[in-house]
Amino acid sequence: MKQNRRELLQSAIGATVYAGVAPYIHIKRQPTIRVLGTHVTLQEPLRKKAMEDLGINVEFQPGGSAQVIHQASTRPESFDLYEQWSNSIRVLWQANAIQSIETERLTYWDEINDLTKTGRLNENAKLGAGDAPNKLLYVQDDQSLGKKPSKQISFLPYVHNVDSFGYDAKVVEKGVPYETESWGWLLDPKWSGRVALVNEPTIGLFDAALAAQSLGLVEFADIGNMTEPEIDALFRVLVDLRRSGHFRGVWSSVPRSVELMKRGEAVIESMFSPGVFSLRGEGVNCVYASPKEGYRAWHGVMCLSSKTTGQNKDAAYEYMNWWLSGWPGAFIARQGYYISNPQRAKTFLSQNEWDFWYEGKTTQEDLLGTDGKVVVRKGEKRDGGSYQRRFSNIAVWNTVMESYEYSLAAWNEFLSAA
Amino acid sequence: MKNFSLKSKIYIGVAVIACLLLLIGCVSYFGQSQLASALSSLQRANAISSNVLELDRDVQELRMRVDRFVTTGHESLADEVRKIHERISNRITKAKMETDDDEIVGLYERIESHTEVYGQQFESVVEERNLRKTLVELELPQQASLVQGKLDALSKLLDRESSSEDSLNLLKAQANFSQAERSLLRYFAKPNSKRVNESVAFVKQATKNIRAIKTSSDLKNEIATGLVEFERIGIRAVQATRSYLFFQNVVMSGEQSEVNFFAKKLSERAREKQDRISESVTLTTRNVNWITSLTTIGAIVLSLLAAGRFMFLVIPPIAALTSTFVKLAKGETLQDIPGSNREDEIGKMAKAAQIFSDRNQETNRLLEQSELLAAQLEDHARELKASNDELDSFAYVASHDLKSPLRGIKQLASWIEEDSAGKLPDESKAHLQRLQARVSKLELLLQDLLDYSRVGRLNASVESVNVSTLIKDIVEITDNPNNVKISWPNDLPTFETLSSPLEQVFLNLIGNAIKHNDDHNHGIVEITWANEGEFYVFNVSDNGPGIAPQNHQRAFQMYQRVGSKDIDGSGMGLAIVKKQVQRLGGEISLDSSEGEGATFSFTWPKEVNAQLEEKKNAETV
Repeated sequence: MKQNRRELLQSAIGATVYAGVAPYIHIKRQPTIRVLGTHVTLQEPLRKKAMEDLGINVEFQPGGSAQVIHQASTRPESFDLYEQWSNSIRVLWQANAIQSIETERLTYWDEINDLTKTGRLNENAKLGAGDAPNKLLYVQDDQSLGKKPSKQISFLPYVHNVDSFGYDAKVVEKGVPYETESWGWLLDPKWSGRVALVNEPTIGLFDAALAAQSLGLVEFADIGNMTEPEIDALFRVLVDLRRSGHFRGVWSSVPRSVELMKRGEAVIESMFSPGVFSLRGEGVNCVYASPKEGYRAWHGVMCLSSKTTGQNKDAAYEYMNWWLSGWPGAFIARQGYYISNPQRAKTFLSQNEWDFWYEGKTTQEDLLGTDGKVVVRKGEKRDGGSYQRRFSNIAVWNTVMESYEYSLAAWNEFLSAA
Repeated sequence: MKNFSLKSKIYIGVAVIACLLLLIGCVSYFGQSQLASALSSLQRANAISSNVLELDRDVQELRMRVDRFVTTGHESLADEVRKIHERISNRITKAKMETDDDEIVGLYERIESHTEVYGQQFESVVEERNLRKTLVELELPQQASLVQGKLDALSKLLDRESSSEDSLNLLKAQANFSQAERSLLRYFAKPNSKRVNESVAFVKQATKNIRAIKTSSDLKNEIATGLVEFERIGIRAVQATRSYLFFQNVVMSGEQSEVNFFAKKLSERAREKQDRISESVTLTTRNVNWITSLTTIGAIVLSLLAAGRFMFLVIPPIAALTSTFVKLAKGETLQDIPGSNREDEIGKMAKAAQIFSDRNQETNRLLEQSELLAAQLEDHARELKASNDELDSFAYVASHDLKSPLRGIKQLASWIEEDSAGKLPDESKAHLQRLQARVSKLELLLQDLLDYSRVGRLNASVESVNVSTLIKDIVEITDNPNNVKISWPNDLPTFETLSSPLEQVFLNLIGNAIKHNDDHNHGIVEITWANEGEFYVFNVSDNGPGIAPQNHQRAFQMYQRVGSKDIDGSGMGLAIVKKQVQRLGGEISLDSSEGEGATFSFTWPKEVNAQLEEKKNAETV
């Protein structure tokens, strides 16, 4: 059995005292790591468990995605570890806000599956457009990021998922996953006034683009790297729709997305997995669509601050290793997220949990979420099926495109249209 | 209701109508209150609409100022934004306090929360925008100038000492740096990530070219370091740009879109409220009108019904009762009184009528009895009058017819006395004289009796009588041996009456007063009068011996003498006076007590009754 840091520390202290050699006991200062990130992964149970398992102090600095990426890119000295999505990597790397991570120091590196390392989970899987994690993972010889494997990586592969849109099956007729469910539903006039998008151009933009493309309203040469004319074309459609009152609005946090559907203000909207299960836990029959065009995928990144060194850096590595040690993977699985080394998480999940969350099978019992509430009822099956099936249908990865700044202005125009 | 009294029924009717009127009043009051309340709510709803419009205007102005600030970076514009933001916050706080509608308060709170985030994000925008300004306008040019200076210095060094290959690499590095600088400037002019990537690539290329220079010089490292710093500053400026652009275009714009959404909701809610209040006002007005009209009609109908019912209940029985009472007033008696079987007031009145009827019956019985008695009385009176008349006639006849034989006796006695003067013994003379005296007395008695019986028989005619003259004449002919002082006022009336009876009354009374006055030196008789309605009242007072009250009644009886026995008299004087006075409808009274004098008062009609005249005439005939 692996001894954790606290146990090691305690045995060391015990041995010292027993020996009675030293005139005094020198206890190494307990390191503190500051983790900057979003509420997706900065959850109190994780922090407590990490502190308990590792014997280190862990401070969470949760915030909105924009806020944390801004802080991370401008003040690397204010954190040790940064947790967000892969679309923030280029920004942080370019800003020299993060340093490369040595794979040799990652205990479970070899267990990381192919999704992160190659961009696809299996050979038959679609290779999604945009920045697949493998394109950002490895530090190249010229210090740029690329897909050529190296022992230096820009982020620790860990939490990831595929997103789509959620809809209230009480209002929107339930479709057939991968067959009739389509991103185009988001722009269906039937739901006029009750459609919401996530307020993040690097994410919501793709939801809208996939929807417009699905309906044949706009054509993209590469949806993962839209040109300015393509963005113009897309936003002409979106602005017109907004002006006609098609959109209820945008949301900036998972609780807000839940609130929108719970209040009935939105019946179909961009959705993150926890939001879907939260709504289900509250009795709303929210279906997480499996669009025939494929999912919008995202990959969580855990990055090491360029300013973190010494003891804190060691503790940061321990924290990163802890994340892949199984328990955290199981924890976030109960919120619908996947971990990059699922087999280790499996040991911390019940068979029913594993079957439901990873295998896409019908559960034989009620499943609890991380808050102890039932989030999955007996007899339910995960929307979109198994981990393999879902990640075999990726349309695009969340990406910061070269036209990012242009898209910001267009997004503003979209939001301001009335 | 049947057993209720009329009073109760009237009270109930009035109470019901009063209740209906009260209901009308209440409905009107309620309606007015509702309308006033609705008006107040409408004003509040209008205030919300107005506030939302102002809020919208402020938000648009805020957005415009933010855009201008982002474009120019002028701090004054940031201050303006803060002022507008504060104004919006104050407006929301005030608006929340002015409404009690939870939904509206909830909407304001949501606007408030988004506005708050908007404000916070703006501070981030300001921070990043200012940072970029400093970096782009100050630090980056300085760093570029520094690098450029080093490059120029290296160029001079290479011109003197190095090969053309080094110079070429330097030229390339200089070109790379210029391109890097230009790319960055292009980015800041129009943000595009390609420009950044280009700039970074040019910096790296410049560094590479610098490192390719073989000539040894510290300047190479200094330039490489300068280029890294240039890249760092440039990237930081890019980050700042991206940050504020993100805050402005995504976060703040998102918050503003939510503010707009909820403001729109608020506006809709206010409009709904206005519509609802308007509907409510219309409905309330209609309802109040309906209820008031219905209640009024109800009150009128009920009043009419009550009045009709009351008329039906009261008027016919009252009319019947009135008729009954009219009949009863006429003295009729009724067997069946209408309404006597009722329990109310009419029933009581009917019972009272029944009592009247019974009384009438009794009265009639008594009347019949009275009439019978009256008839009997009349018969008795007639008999009495006949008897009196007979008596009077007898007295008259007796006194009249006896006078002649008595005068004969007297004459004969006189003749006997004359013839037998000296022949008759003294005793017989004395007897003869006594006879003559007794005959004279009898003659006097007969004369008085004749006078009494003649009262009303003598054919006296109505003539103008001056009472003063009449008394004067009486005083003159009356024997007044003791010089009793007789006084009468000068204003005694003169009027049309029977002179002789009045004269006889005064003569007897004055004569009695003089005759019976025992105060020989200070005897006084005083005559006074008074005018009382249809009668004159005459009083004859004296200061004589007076008459004891127990003798007052007897004094007016025939042949009754209450005065001194020494004074001559037949005792018929006052009886004649009384008969004369009463015959003309007057009355006589006596006020006297022994030793206190006496006052005889009698009334005399101002006009002699025509009937009496006729009667008197008939009697005379």
